[in-house]
Amino acid sequence: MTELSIGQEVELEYGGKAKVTGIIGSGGQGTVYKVDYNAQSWALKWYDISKIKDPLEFKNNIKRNISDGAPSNKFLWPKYLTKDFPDGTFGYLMELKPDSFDSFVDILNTYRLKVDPLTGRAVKQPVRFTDLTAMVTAVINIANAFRQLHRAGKSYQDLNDGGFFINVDTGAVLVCDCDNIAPDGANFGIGGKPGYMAPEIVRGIAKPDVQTDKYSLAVVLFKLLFRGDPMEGEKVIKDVCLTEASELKHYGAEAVFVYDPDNDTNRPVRGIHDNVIKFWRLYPDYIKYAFIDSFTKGLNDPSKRVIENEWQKMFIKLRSEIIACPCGRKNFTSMFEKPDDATYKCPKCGMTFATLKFSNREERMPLYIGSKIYTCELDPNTDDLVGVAGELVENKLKPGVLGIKNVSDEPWRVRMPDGVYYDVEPGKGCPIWQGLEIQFNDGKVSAWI
Amino acid sequence: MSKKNKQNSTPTPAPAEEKQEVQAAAAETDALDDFDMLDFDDDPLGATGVSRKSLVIFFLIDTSGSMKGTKMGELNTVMEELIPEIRRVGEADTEVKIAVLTFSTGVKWMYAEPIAIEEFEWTRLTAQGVTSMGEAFKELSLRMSRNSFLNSPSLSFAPVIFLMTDGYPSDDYKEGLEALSSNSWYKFGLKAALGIGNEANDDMLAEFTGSKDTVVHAYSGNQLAQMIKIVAVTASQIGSKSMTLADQNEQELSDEDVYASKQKMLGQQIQELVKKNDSDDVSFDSGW
Repeated sequence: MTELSIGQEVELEYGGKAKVTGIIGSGGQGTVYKVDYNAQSWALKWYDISKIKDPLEFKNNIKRNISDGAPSNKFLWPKYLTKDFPDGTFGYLMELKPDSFDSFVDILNTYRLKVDPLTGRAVKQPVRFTDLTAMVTAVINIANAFRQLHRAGKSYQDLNDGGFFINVDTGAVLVCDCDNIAPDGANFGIGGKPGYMAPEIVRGIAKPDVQTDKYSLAVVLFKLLFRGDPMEGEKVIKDVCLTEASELKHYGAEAVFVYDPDNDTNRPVRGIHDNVIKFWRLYPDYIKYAFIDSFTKGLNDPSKRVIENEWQKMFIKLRSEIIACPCGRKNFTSMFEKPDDATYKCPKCGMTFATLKFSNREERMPLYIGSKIYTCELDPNTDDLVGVAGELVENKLKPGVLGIKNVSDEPWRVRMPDGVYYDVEPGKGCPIWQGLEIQFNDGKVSAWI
Repeated sequence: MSKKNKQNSTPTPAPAEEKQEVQAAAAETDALDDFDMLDFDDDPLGATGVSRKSLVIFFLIDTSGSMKGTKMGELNTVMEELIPEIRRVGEADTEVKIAVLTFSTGVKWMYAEPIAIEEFEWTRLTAQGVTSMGEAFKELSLRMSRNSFLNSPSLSFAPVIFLMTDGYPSDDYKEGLEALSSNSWYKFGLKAALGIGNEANDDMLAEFTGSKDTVVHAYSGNQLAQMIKIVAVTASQIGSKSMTLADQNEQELSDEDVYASKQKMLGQQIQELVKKNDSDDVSFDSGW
């Protein structure tokens, strides 16, 4: 492998030179350097071509990805290839990860290590989602990113905890390591990481493709929500030492989901898997069933794996089921009492929450200050999954009066307390009252108390 | 957290001049130390870190009299510099711990138990005495146990064991190696060895690692630094990760296919790196 040194210049394929200014990190296939190019900082992924089966084919794939462009702005996509070094070594430039994003690994560990460059001493800094909505938004974004990728006819191949950056305040997601992304069906030698790889890849009987991506996606989503490994329970812990043979067994042919309803041999172990034990009881059943399906029926039958669009829909629903109680409790409706069909009650402080019934949803949406109606809940065809159309606010002129503010760019048709329908223009709002009805998008979706 | 404070407060100074008894305290099981879960705390964001797999890297270091001078100076310096490098390797989803066993006339652990890499501080070693390698093997075998140094409640990867020596054992190393061979952590562990100078015997070291590929040799200070880095970084990279499966043959893998695959990979990578780092420095033993 040809290593680069700080100050060294690397020529780019279409002209110009990138100057190495630092090292960001090393991985299985090479090293990522920080470089300056055109007066801007970039990341340069520089390959150890001895680790790549067919470097030319690999490079052509990156070239194709560069010309196809990223499926969306959720990807830190390859931008420019370098010229080859005499020994054939090459790399590509991509944008740097913004500082506001943390790696998925750090989120799972709940801290990041900051190393003092002078003493070499490491300090742990906490990394946590600041808000439940942000965490659910992150899983929506991850599912959506893979939906976009798969719709572009490509598969990610090596989906694992090193592949994402997440903004813990907003739930925004950046998918990195996009260099193994290949047209579905093609594989340039990457296998993946046990624990994330589909069992059939671990066993050596399949190569990464869209179907195996779906398995890995379920693992990533499980890890983010339940903070544990879906296949690591009692059965695995008994092995104590994780040898190659035990990895093959527990993540391959003999993988058992920790909450497999028909097989209780691999339940989470208290003292080790406390997160999973704790969080499993918090989530609504439809989320649990989706994971059970993914990791039981979908374990050995790729066609039974939950598809990205289903995850996306489920998590959009989950986001609408969050209640932020003024007492500080923020949780899913599944963790609130339901004194009647249209009301939720906080088990901690007794506060009650009215709900809104939508024509296109089964569950009623809880209303609390800050609760949001998202654009995608009114228009199922949009790819904008974070845009907000309406928000529950307190009237600035009449304190104590709550209403829904139209923050979309379309007028709503609303029945006001006088019983008459009015247009509520963007920026305006309507009070919540017993006979409230709102018609969105020319009446395609409506909601009422 | 309480455990970490404890670790920091028990650094044993390492004057190898003194004949020291083994000071390894029996590490207590602290699996239940942080057991304050399930106290009706139901915040979906109230997560603790995902249970990580752990990896202990054992350094077995010859501190006999012949290591005195440049070798020990170089070794101390490179080990100090190495710790931050390995830390970067292990910061992902594996908790890396370090244990250092020195052997001269007796054997001695640098710290009473393996220390998390984030908190590890190298204590400079000094050299004196003879080469009780066999005793070191026996001591290692004793501590590489679920009841002693490998007591992490969660899953562990097989340990990395890195032996560095500049001479031939002065005791019966075969007996020690025999004890070690019956230890399954050793059997599955990633083993590598570094011979320093002309006296070190690569065949003997290969007996310890199980293959010649994982034995390297340094004849100069510069090489010593390079080799320690190459071996330690490569071994911790491979050791702290799950096996990688790049080249499948469309055929169901069996236990035999994957047996010792990490050890083989370690051998290959070390050999590649060593070839690239061949240098023509002056040997430790020449030019006097």
